Amino acid sequence: MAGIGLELNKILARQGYTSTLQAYFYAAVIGSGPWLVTVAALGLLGAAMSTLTQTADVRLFFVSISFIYGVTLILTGPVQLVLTRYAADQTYTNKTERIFPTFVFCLAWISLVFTGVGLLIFVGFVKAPLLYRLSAALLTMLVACIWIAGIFLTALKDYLQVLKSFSIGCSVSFLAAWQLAVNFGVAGAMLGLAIGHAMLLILLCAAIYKEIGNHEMGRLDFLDYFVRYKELAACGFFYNAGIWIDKFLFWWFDPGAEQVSGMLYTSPIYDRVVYFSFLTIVPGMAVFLLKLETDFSIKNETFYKHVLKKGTLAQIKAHKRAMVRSLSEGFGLLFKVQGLCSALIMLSAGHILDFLGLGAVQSGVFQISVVATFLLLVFMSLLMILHYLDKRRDAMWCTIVFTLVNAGVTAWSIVAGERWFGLGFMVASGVGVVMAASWVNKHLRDLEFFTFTSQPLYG
Amino acid sequence: MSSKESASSEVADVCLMLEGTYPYVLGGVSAWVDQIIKGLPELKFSLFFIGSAKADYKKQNYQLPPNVLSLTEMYLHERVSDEELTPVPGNSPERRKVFEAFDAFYQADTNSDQRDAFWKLITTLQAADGHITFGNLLRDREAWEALERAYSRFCPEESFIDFFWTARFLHLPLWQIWRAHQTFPKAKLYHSVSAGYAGFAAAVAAHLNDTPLILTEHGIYTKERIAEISQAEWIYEPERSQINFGQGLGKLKMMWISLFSFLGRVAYDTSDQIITLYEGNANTQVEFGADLKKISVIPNGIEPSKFDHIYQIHVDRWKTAPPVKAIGFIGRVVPIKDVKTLLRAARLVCERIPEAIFLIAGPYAEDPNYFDECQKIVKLLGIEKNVDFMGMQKIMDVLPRMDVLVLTSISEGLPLVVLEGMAAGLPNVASDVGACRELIFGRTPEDKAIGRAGRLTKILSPAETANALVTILQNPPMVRQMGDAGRRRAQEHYSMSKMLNAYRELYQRTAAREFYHMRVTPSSATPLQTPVPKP
Repeated sequence: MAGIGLELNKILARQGYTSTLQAYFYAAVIGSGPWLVTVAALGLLGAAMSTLTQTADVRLFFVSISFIYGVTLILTGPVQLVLTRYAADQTYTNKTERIFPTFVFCLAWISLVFTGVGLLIFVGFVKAPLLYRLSAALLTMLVACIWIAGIFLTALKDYLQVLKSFSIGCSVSFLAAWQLAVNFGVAGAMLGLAIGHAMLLILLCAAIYKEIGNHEMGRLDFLDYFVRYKELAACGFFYNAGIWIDKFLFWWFDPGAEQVSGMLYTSPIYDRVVYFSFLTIVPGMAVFLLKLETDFSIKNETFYKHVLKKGTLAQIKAHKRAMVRSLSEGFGLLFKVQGLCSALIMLSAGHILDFLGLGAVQSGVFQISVVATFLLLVFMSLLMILHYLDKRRDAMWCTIVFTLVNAGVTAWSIVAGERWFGLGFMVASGVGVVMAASWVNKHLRDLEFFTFTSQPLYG
Repeated sequence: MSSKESASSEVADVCLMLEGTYPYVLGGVSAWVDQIIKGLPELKFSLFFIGSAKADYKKQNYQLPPNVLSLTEMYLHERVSDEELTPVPGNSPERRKVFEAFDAFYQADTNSDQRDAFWKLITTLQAADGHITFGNLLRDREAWEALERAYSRFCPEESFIDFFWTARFLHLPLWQIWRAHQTFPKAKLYHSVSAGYAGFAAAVAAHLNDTPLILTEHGIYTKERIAEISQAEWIYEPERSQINFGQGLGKLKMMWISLFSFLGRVAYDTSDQIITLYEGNANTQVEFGADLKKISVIPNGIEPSKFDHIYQIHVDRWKTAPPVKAIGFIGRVVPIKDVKTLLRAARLVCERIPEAIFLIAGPYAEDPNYFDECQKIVKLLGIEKNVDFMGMQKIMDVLPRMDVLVLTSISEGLPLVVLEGMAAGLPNVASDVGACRELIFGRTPEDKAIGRAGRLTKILSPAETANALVTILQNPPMVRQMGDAGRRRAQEHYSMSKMLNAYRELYQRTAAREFYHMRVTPSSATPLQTPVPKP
């Protein structure tokens, strides 16, 4: 995430309250952009569509989309982290011209693979009109590509362009889905959503091309990165798998789950509540991302500059302390902002659920999952620090344990009953936080020790 | 480390520790080693060779005589094996003791504390065999902590990354030597032919095997290394004006200097006998920490009978003063020999003895610029007819043509040409450097009684050099007198057989530990020399 820090710093440099808010807003978009677009579009659609089609169709529509998100996130996870690393390395070694061809190369493969995945899922295992199934397959491919494009957003300087792309993508998704739903029902809505996402993808690709584009052909050296950074790939996979595994378990094993169509299920008590609780962590994520990408990254850079450019040990240690300070400030802010948000949301859970049309049963699950997503946010932030410190193996183990704990405790909670629903996610996030925090703590404490002693004797 | 061993379980009489010399490299020290081994055929030798990297020694220049039992080699700059770079995992109290010993070594306040800490360290290393690799030294926290403490004690203001890498590369060769200790040949005594790494290895070998140690220094290793490091550009120094030698040098250079001073002291301290070529060097050795009581002088030897016929030619020529008077200079045409002073002296000589010619015998390809300047000076002084740059010559070919030898060097050890000129009965005019004073005036009272073999001049002094040459050449009886004195001195005090006898006796007495009682500890009042001296 090299570029974003610069841009955020520029916005912050203008000073004043609005620019700070702008920076937070931008950080929120960068941090959870594609995801927010879809949720916003879906929120509007949800309201609009209930008047247009039957409830069963609306349910099919939403379940399909969440399934698409889950599958694409889990399967692109490995590529996302390795590609991020690749782009960062090329930026660091001033070989930015290599990034765009690699991006094109990845995009080509991802679109090919995910067209296959989409077709397999929706044409193969879902009963719905053909247009719906094809549109859903198309959306699968587009969402996967947007995840890949999203990696490069942080490198873009023209953040207004990025914001514009998202708002256009969001609006087109909503309008097209709405309009087409009028004439073609749920299949039209799916097609409209796909068109909107295609629009978003094209605009993002255009912005990326404008910034780093060239006419080189795809590069294969990226593939070596998978071998070299297999821990990163595993980390990307398990992180997303860990976030989704509880949903899959509910779909497949919760006696209350309903089969929507083919391999699509829904668990009315559980999944929608959890999706919604994810939205609650956007403020905290923005706050932390901003701190990480501006203050912390500069402190981190200064630290390494002093290591490499002949600083004394006292200077090196002082800059490490500055890093730690920045980090604890970042977490402090995260706890304050997100703590307040989550607390408020939990207190007003009844009203919110009423508004969303969810019942009292979900209220307990919702409260648990608000806590769980709060912990997930902390876990995610700690993982980012581990990646900053290049502790790939540790990050990988954190995500593996996270996934296993989530699977284990969720399975138990399904058997144990409704009042325990969401506990798997919460415990897994909590365990992840403890693991990652202890590692971050250890690595920061020993930062100069590891930085020096890990240098190979023969370069 | 790589080691090739002609397997031999036999205990040698003497193990020679050789750093970058015999049997691979040609040169004065190698020739001397060759003389010793061949000249003492009744003794069995083992050789331990320490080189930089194996690739630097492609050709073995000396055939090993039959009384050499084995040749073991190790290379300081050879890449360490991956095995050695992998830390031994787990917790080991033995290893912790090693790191504690390292720490004590870095924190030692005086030379004697440091020496004690060093031998303690060796003991802990022996005990930790199998529990520690260089990888542990590179990666273990205790090692890091000791290093951190050393840094904050000695140079907390220095660039840490440079300190860190300097520290790594200071330790690496010593570790390699330590790792090679199992390959040290077994011997009744160890004899190192220099201080430095070889002297260090020999000290460790003698210590581990509880055998006596002899150290012979041809030059002064520590001093040479310090001069080299002071000028080195590969060691980082912050911007600061470099005033001179030892002062104003960066802390990192001081680390290297301290390393070599330390290696020198380990060898000096452990040695039962320290041998030098001439008395002047003994003073320098004392300066670098050697105990004067252990030092004796055994000069290099030549075979005087080889020069008999040249002597005869010379005597015949000087029955009456010869019509042409040839002044010989034998040596490379390089700045350290100060040929320019010689040429200026030549001009002064030619003004008073027009028939004088200067035969400058020696290669001049080494420093073409300097040679060029010398030729210009010859033209400028208008002595083209009197000066002949002969290039590389065989000494036996040119000596018969010379009447007197001259040496204007600004630095020398024990110059063999002066000795050979003496053996041939030629008077010498030499600058007062290295062993020249002892060669020309004599060292011991009985030696001095032989008389002067020539004249001594100040360095950089054309007038003194010219005066000395003119005085000698215009006085034929003096030519003969000095020539004969020189010849007698060479025969009586600088003959190879005398040198060999001296070493034979030295080996016998040392092996019998006759000097053992002399193994004294230097007083702890010696000036502070820690790995990196305090500011």
